[in-house]
Amino acid sequence: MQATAVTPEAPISAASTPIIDARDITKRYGDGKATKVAVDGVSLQVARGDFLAIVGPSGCGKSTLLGILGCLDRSFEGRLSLFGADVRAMRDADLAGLRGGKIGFVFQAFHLLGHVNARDNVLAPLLFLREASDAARMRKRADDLLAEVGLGGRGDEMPSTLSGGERQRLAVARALLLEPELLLCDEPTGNLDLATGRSVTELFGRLHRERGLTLVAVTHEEQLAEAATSIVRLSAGRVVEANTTVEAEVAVGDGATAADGEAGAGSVADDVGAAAAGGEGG
Amino acid sequence: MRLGALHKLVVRDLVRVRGALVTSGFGIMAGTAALVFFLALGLGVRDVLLGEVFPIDQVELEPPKGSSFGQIASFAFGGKAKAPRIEPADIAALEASPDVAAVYPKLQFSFPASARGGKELLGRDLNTGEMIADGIDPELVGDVGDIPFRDPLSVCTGDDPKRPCTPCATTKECTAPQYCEAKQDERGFCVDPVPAVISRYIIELFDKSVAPAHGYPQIGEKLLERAEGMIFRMWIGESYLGQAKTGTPRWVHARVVGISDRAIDLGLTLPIDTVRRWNVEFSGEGAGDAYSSVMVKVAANDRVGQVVALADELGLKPRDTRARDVSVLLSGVMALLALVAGIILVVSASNIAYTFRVLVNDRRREIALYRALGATRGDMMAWLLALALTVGVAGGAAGVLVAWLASLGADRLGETRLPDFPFKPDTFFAFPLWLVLGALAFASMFALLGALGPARRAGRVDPAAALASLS
Repeated sequence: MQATAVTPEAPISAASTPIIDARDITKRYGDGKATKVAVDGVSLQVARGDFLAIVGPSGCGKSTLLGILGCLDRSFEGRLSLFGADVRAMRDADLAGLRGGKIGFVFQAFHLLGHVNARDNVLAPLLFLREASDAARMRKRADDLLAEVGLGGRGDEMPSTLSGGERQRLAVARALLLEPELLLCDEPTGNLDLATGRSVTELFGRLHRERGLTLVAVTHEEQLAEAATSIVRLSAGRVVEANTTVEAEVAVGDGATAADGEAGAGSVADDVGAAAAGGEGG
Repeated sequence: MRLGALHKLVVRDLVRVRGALVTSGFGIMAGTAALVFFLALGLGVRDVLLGEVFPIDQVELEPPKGSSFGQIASFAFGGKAKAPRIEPADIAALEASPDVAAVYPKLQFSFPASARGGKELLGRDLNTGEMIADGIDPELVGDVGDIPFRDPLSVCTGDDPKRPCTPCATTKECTAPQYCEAKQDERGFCVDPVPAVISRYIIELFDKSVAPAHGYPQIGEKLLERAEGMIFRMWIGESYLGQAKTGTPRWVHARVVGISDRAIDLGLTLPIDTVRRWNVEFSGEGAGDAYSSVMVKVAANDRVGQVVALADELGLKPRDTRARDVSVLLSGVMALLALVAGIILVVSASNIAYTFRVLVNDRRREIALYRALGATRGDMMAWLLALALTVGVAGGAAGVLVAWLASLGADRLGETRLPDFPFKPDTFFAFPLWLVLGALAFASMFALLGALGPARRAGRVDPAAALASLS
């Protein structure tokens, strides 16, 4: 299975329901003539175990799309299904439960809680769990996760004492606490130097390989994109290229390339979708 | 969000933003302190005024004063018009009302009397040329001191005499302190002195006016308590102003058994059966049930109006409307002071609103992160409101404490700096439980009101925008 761009009309295979099934997602800001289209009719599917990189220049709508895929933004047009459930039909509490239980987030700016130590940062998702959890067990799990991301024995340190790479590793540990099925990463290496970014990229690769974690990472770093199994390239809010790097299945219609995608983004994206849908058994 | 998690978030915030929260809580504390202080003062003063000076749970009803031309002419020209009185049927009608808890008729002396005594207390005997006295139901007085408040002759006569009494014709035949309760030239029984209760007001009047003018020592309540049991003699049937129509004047003995709120302001208050006997002796049979007034104990303070309306139907009027007037005045003053405190609380609520709005603005990213981690809009609102509630309860509790400490200081000042005056209380304040709980509820309510807008704002934070804008 791999992440693919699809046409909005492509049917979903009942036998292999994707974790993410987005159809014709459009996001507009403002009204009337001042309307700005941040995401323009994007359709894509992400299957379990995929590592999808969404790449594109700054301002192309990558982070906006990720926010929509993570249920952080519900004011969009189109259809979005996560884990088989229609997001727009879900109540706020159900969406919150979905975010807390099945999705982990990693952000470019880390977004750590500066007033608590590293361990409590990892444990932060427990605050919003509806069910009570075993405090001792979760504390041990937090320490294990810190060790797994290379921060073993540093649970009592405050985030301000950690380096940029360590902070991002801490954010990854937090995202993994509740064993999410999907990890959404927004420019996770954007604030890191090359070497640190590489180590974080390796961490994501390891999590994907060893845990079978499904990842969707928004990035403009080639290094991270190369670690992904699939790439969707956005330009001006549209999918201009979908590329499965590992399986080397490139599905770009009409001979368009990522380089000339800017010119005919709409038709290219649609064609990519049609090709991918056909190829995936849609 | 579970309560434990909410508690953890609030406790963390109390540490993180303690400066801003203390500032907000200070406003709540000041408002609550002012509210509690003023209301406690009002309640305390009200307790004294309406509990001791003008009791509001009781209404004394009396017939209209004789003021019509017919009555005046009748008295002036020797007519036989009787003084206004309350009939037993009126008493029965009052007793039947559901708004009435109890009815206690009063009998005034219908004959002249004077008194002499007080040497034990004052150093020399005090003479009163005219003695005013009322007889009231012993039940109204209850237990005062160790000596029962009842007609002393009742132990010798009646259906169930308690003990055999020594027959006598003169007091010389009795053992002190008993005296011979017998009509002139008739035989009676040796009985204990008639118990009498007096009011605080009469003591205040004596100490402030009579004692300085005549060189008597001030007695005060405490001294009087030590002198309880003081026996004096009353000359009944005659005074400096004249003599009773029937009967022969004679000496009787009375004993002050204590101070009672039920006692008439000026004069003695005796058991009604004693007064009834003496009224019959000196004014004839009809004087035995010619009630001068009736004390009505209302079923509840807010039923006074209904009782007064019923009395109006019976042709009776409240003897004294001061309680009602004082009550209205006090309620007005308390409402005004509470309004001032309320304004302080509103200002503190707006301060909380500002503080929390800043807090929400500063924490858009944190709120967005919590949403990403699984928090609902309601969780974020609950977080802010719980924080505000904590500030409100803590500020309110501190306010109650400050008000209580201030009341202690004010009482101390009153004790040391204010001159003595009638009914000067030990404390000018009352802190009933409902006031404390109500103040905490008010403080919490204003804190929650202040935080409601910011909390809703927190619930509406767009997590995607907040997280992306700071990426």
